[in-house]
Amino acid sequence: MDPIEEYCRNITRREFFSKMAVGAGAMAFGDLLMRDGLAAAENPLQYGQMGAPHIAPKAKRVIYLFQNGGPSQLDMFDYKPGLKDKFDLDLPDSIRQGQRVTGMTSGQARFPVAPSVFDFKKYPNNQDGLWVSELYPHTASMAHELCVMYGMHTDAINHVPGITFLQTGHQQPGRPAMGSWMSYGLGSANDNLPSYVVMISQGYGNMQAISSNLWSSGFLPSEHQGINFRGAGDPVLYLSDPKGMNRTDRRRMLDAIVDMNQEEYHKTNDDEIMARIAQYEMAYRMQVSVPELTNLDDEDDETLALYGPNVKEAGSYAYNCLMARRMAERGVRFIQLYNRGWDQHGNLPNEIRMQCEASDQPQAGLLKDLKRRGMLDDTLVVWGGEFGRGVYSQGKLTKENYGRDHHPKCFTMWMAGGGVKPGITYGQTDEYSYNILDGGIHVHDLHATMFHLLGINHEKLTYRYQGRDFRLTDVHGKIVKDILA
Amino acid sequence: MQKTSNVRVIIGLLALAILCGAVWFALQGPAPSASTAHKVDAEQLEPLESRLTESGQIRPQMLAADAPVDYNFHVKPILSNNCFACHGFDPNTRESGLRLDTRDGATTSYAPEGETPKIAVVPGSPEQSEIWKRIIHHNEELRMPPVESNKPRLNEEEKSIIKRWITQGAEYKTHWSFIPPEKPEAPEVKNVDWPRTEIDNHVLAKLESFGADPSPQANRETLIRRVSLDLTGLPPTPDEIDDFLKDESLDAYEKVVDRLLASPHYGERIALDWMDVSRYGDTNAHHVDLERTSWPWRDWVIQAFNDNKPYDEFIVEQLAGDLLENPTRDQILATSFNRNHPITNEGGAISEEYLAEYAHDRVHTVSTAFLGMTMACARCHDHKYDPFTIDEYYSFFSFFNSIDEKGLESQNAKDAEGYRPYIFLAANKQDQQSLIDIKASLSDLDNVIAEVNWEEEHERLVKAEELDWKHLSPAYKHAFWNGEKVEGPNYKYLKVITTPEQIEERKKEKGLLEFDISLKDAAEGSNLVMIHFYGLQIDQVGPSRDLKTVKGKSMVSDLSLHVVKGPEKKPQIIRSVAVAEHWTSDSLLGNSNSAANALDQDSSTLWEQEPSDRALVVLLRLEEALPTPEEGHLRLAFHLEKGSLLPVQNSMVHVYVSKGRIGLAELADRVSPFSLTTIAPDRVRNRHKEQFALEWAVAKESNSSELFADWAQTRDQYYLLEQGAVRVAVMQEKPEPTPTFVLDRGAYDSPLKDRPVGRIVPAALGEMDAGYPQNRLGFAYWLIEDNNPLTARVTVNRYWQVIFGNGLVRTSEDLGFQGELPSHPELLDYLAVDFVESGWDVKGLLRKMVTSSTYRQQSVRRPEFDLVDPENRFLSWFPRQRLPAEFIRDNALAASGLLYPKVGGPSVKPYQPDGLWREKTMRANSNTGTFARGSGLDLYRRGMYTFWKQVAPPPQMEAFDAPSREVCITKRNTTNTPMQALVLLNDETYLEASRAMASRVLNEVPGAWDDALNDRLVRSYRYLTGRHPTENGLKTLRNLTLESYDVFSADAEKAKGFLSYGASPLDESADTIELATLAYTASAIMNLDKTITRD
Repeated sequence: MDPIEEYCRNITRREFFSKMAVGAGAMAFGDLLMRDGLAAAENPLQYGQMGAPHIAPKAKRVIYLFQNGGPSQLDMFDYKPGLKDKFDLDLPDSIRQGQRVTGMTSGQARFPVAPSVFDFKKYPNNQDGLWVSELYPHTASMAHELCVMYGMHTDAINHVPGITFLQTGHQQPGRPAMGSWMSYGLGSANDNLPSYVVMISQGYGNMQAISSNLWSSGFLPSEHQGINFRGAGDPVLYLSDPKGMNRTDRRRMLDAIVDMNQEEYHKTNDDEIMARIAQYEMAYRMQVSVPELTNLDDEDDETLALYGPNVKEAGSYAYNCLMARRMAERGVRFIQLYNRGWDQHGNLPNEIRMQCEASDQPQAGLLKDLKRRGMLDDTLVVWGGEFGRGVYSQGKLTKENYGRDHHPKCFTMWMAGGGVKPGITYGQTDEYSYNILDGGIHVHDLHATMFHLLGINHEKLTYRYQGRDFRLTDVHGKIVKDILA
Repeated sequence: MQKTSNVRVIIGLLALAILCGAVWFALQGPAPSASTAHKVDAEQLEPLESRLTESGQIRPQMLAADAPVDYNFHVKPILSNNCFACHGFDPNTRESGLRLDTRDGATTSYAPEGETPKIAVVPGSPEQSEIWKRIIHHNEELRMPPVESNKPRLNEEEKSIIKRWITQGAEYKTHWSFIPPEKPEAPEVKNVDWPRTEIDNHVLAKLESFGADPSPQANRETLIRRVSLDLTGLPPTPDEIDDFLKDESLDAYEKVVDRLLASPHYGERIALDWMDVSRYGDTNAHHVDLERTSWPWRDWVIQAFNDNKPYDEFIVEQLAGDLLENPTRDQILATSFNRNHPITNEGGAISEEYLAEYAHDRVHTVSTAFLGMTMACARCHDHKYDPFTIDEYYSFFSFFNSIDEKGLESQNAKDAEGYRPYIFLAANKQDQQSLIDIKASLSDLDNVIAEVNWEEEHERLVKAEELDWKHLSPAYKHAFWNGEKVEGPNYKYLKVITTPEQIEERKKEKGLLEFDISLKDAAEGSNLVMIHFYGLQIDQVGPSRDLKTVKGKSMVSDLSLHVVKGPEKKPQIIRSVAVAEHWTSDSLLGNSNSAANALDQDSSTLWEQEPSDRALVVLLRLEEALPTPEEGHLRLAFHLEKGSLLPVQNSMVHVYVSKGRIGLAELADRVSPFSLTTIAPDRVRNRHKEQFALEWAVAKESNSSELFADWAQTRDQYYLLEQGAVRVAVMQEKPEPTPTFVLDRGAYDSPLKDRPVGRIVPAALGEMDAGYPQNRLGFAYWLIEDNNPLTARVTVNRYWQVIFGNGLVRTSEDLGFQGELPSHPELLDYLAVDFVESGWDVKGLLRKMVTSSTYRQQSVRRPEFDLVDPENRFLSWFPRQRLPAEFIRDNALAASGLLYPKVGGPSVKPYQPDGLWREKTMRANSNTGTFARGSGLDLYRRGMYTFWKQVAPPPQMEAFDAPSREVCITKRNTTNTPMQALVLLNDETYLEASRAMASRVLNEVPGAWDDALNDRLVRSYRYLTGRHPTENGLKTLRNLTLESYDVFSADAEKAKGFLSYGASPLDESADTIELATLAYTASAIMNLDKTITRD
């Protein structure tokens, strides 16, 4: 055991516990000691603010593969063979039903139907099979694990409000992210890493902005904000000790800091000081645990091969997928990936091909890897963007080329593991993949369902701010029971 | 064990609640003797947990059994939290027709007509009261609050409160914060020597009421650091500390306070709090996240605080400065407050949706910042708790939605229209006046434009001339510069040049600029008769502000037209096309027109063009009509002799095609060149449209270019001045208010046309004087009226929070039904009334606070009060508080001597890790796509001037709880995280400051290493913490230093490595090992709790 930790534990343990205030830092420290087995197992802080799960959890963690920009369900999952005959015909008014379109196509004289240029194939799942296009063979090979939801729909029609809605349950910035709610509700499950981590990979097409408000803790205490692990430079900002300083030098400095902070504590009785000492120790441990996390030397070739050729390129989607598994193993509760570049308004067939090539094998590799390690059962993997894309062509339509505008009325997402029924499809859209025929899942419903799987009653996890008890699902959200295992 | 500490808090909260209640009684109502409350023994208050609400708040209901209950302090918190959501203000969600938030509703029958009457509250008789029956109902299903509300059942204490309230007559009262404050008498205290100000009487009376006493005064070192940080955000220097320690006069402390209040840094410190409230940022927050220029407004705020502008004026000018009579530049600038919200420029965004969002944001900000009310709930339905209807919400909204603004902003930062309405602020006062004068004379001319219906005119002319204009596509998505492709999407032939370096480069080049036009889209059998080229700009003066450095004429030796065919890179010229006649924008402007020199096939004669803000327009009438379509492309080539000819953003080539019959002679006769400068309005940006419109209109009216030349000159003057100015978005009212309706469920596209709303203020808060203007100005006047119950309370409460860490009402954003109750209601009222009486004197208010005995107490927590006041709401000691993010940095810079203390000006970009902007931004279009670190003194400005990119705020600020600034926030969190440790330990800012600190003490304390070491350590410690180290502390520092000295001595490379951070020059005169060692120790001191805490 590290001498300074030992010191803290032996000398000041009593103080920690007897003086601890409900301050955020103090809480985190309590949490930390508890997991070291020093405190009673029933310590409520293990479960963050909730005390204990509301319901028996199926999933212990989430890996959310956010496809930023709005992937085209028509070209990947939502197979509409009938459209081939409707090439360049106008989208019927009976289908469009006067629904609003974005400012980018509202001026278009026509809405000509653009069938997907891609071939689809049926892959066996636990029902009568799953149609997936040629773009996603690896992902399709995991059909027996996927729960594919054709009936996703959202309220937002543009990227910023759309992403914000998916990630925070509200279209305008300012609310806590889903991962922050989870961190707040469930607390941390590890000693050395943050409980909510964000990783971004750059894509190949039109890249939409991504704002750190998407992983902000909003009005929740900022310790619950997502920590952005980066592909370049320090994986965590400011992680590396400066040049000319090794671990011993750092330790020596920290010992002096602890010593002087302790003295100050004895003078002032201020619990925050002890919390700060604990946070410095956590930082010290992170300086070791994060490099250990990002060092892939202990991955065998077979594993690396699962994720495809880019797996060692820091910041790539493949690298981030592998990192997600490594974090999952180490107790990070909410692992949020952003894969940018799906906004294909024009030249869709070319751009989506590159985008899919870069994402297919890595995410399928992640599923396989989790599966073979027995981790898929308690890891909820979620895949999807902020909305779908429309059946009519944006801009010029040819047999080979077209673009697609945003479409919020239906899109496809999938989940796997973590208590979701494997190998099923859910919901159905009309022949144009324009409207939902049955099995609609609103963003709030998705949130409610995800929380349910995590053992959280989405109506009960609330935070009082400005006089109101806020929650992720606002005043909405129905659990989609049909997809629960 | 954990439980113990919770218990401590719970008991304390209960005690606090009792005390609050007791004090409130003293003020409001049937007064129980103070002793009744204070006799309650906290130990007897078991069970404890049951009295906490789910969110950890305590219901302030504990009372001695016989004490009268108070509606506001005991009953309403229970009713509001448990009942009002379904039986409250909002009729749409009112269950069973029962309303409990009014006495009428509660005491009259809510049973449907014809059924047995049911009365919720029968005063005096709980047994007959439905509410009581349902609260204690034996049937789970029928008991209130219902299971599905997810509310815990009422506990015994809560039940007893309700019961006693009904028994005692079920009195209702207006919500406490809606009652205008009255100045209370200063309470009497036992310890008459302690109070220095009336604040102290209130605080001490409360402490004495539960047998507590205040803490001793803090020592002078502590005091001067505390007050310096609180009033300026900067630490005192060792000299200032020593002066104060030596000053034996009675008012030594007051002198320090007055010095600090007069410091220019006072304005910065107080403005910081306002930056959070007013969601200040340097970018637009959405999508491309363009830079916006709001810092002149920030300067205005700093200046306002430094000038001690009365706070009522501060409010009026920010909300409605533009509506004051003959507003000054500053009064207009002040209104930028309400343009700080996020603004979108996402291509597909729907303008109306965002116009509504901007107005919603203003409602939220104004109601939170000035009224301490949360209106947002009433956006979709009547408020569940506070008495605001959805109609009232939209009435409030209608004050703020009639701005002449755009919902969807341009993605081009240079496009002025996007920020409309805005003002230009010139560098100095004289220029500013000229700017205003010139703008006025221009606006006369602008009126001419306004009268032209110009799409119609264009249509008519084109028709009359039997001309058909057609935009022919470019043949390639690029133009050629000396044969090299210049990439760009359609209509943007050229790479946009953005840096002065690129411009200089281009200027030097003599070259050939070629545009290719595809002819294949022209209708079969038509004739190409005219080419309209728009798109080169000679120099850049004016709106394209980044490109302002090129000066001097541009010279074109030849302008030629060819038909070309063949491979893209080296097409063959099939033939040349002769030009019969030309017009250029130069000739239209009445400037000398030497364009003929470019068309004369003689490359020694030059077409010279003066710099201008306008894009160059060239009209070429062909000698012979060119039949189309024709194979190949039409190539337009400019031979530049001196290339300050730059492409504008939307270069275009238009080709006019006749329908085949019109002859050239006819054309020359019938077509006015001016008419041809008109181009389809949807293809051009407004500014250019305006320009062309004017050219046309003037020509048509007078057929002379004289007037136009005047205009052009005036315009040029304007742009020249504007070039040295910055553009700030401000408020400007439309001539007529936008008709406003209740929006169904808050949706912008669902106005309820049968529910129009007018501009009125929420009824629960009073009404606006009919004599006031019915607009934002009237609204602002209403806010600052003496009898507005909220504005002054909210303001003094927030300043109390600035000084004492928490407000007297801790939920400083919410003084409504669900907000917390004040810890010292009478003190809050005293401060509010006194503040108004003082003429809204902020400095005076803060002076009262920081000279009080309450403020001067030492900051040692007193465990003996843990049970009754664990959170120190009664201030029996002064609260230690970690510094805000910005001041942690300021402290390190100031202590190390690096700080550049300039006040105001544009934001700066100090160190941050690479790539943070790039990975989040849409880099193609954004001018904040890539972070370019600042240099020189910009690296050492105060933290509040750090460029605030809202998509990626400065990471070291985020780590220390700075909000993202997208929405109004009145109070920051204070957390304690490992990220904070990593920032202080490893960020370049702090490493450089450590090095500078080492240099500083080496120089200031000369001497041999061993001899001077203690003094140097003491000095470092004093700079950073304002104190002398303790004996043990000094020993620790000394040991640390000696050990690391050995380490660095053993490996000089390590020393060099540690000293390699930061842009400031390394102190070459110092011994590397000594410097590194002291820097290492300084880094340790920077990480001490004491350093980053104001105690």
